[in-house]
Amino acid sequence: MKRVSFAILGVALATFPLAPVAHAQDDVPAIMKQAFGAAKKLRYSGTRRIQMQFGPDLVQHTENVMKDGMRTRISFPDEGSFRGQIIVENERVRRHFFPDRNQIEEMPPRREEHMMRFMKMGKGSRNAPEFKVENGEEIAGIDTKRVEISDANGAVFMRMWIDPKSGLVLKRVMYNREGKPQATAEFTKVEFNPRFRRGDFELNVRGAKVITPRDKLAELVSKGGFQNVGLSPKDPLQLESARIQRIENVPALVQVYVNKNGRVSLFQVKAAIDPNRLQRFGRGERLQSYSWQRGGTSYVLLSELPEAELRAIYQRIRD
Amino acid sequence: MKQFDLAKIEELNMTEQELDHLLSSEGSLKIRQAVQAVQEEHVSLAWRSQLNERLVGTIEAKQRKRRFRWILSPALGLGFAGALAVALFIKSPTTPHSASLNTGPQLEESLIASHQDSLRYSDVTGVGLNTDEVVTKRSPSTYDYNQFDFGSL
Repeated sequence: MKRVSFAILGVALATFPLAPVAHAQDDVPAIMKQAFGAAKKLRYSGTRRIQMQFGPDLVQHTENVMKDGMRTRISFPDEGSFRGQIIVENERVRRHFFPDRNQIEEMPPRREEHMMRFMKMGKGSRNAPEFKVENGEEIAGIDTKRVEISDANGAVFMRMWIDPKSGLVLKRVMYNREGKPQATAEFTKVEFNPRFRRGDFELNVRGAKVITPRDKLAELVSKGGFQNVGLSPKDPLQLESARIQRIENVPALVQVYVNKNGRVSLFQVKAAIDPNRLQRFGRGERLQSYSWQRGGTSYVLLSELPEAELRAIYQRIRD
Repeated sequence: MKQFDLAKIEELNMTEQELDHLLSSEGSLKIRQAVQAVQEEHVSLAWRSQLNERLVGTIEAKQRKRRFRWILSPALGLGFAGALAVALFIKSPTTPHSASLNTGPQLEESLIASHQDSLRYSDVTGVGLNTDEVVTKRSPSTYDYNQFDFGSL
């Protein structure tokens, strides 16, 4: 929940054009600042319901969450599709255990990246968001304040329900361009200051093979006939995930890199890309892009980071 | 040793008068008239000249072809080797911000949407399952990635 609070504040900061962060923070509602601060300190356990809308399909699952400051443990109910999986994250690493293949995936932590990403978005952003705070309904038996955030055109892109006593964000909904819910996270049960067992925030499974996103990337490059093009393991941006995704009927290798400053997607597609269209559409979404072609393949970098930074990433990929 | 017929040899010993008499005989005169009546045909060498010209032309064509092959064969070899070297050893030129391949009109927008969707979902899920983990549900290594379509999200 700490991450969620940081993200909320970040979004608020992101939309104040050419204004320093300090000034932007002054416009952020007090309840959001509270949530931002509480995220690093809260201690609770609870059950959270996640819903994602994939086209016409609504996919949902339940998570059992334990949180102790910057440490998080997530497990899944026995009756669900994800039974037996465990996710443990601390300040340094996120580890995810898959029992069906007895593997632990190790990747960079997400919390810090989210927080810093939204903070960065606040700098130089053109479209100032508007906040509306009012009393919200009960969530998990707790009274809430509802914060609504809309863009410069008045379209609501996020709503959150915050416990005014603890600062915990109990519910959060992201909306798509049509104003329909795209993703929802909602606590159905929360217990503050529970007793945690020693080792609750550790993940050691005997015999489990530890794999990294780089292992997965190597498999995808080989399987999909893609070029082995990406950032070095020594790069400040760390590979968080790699996947093959069919975009407009074109198979694309998608690599996602993160650090505390933000998130960068590197797409590799065997099709032409119009950089002008890319920049035009990216601008509307507050995104920067950089693209190039090599040997019949197009490569696209997308991020909220400045364009100069994307050029530097391109140089590091070339080197 | 061969014995000559002396009687026949002696018959050849005729005098000039006897020869003139024989030549002036009626039989000889008829033969002379018949020979003189035959039309005189001049032997033509034109066909031979034409043949020579054709032979010279053929030889020259063959020589030209041989010369052409002599020049072209190494050139083709060099060209092929050069192309091979370019393909194998020279890096393909990197062209930032250029488009020359076929592309769908929506591809750029879909790339942007894919990145944005990824951000939105991860903002909500946080430390929890990310979208590809939710969609694949089980081991990504056993999943058919070709069916994984975030573009339609």
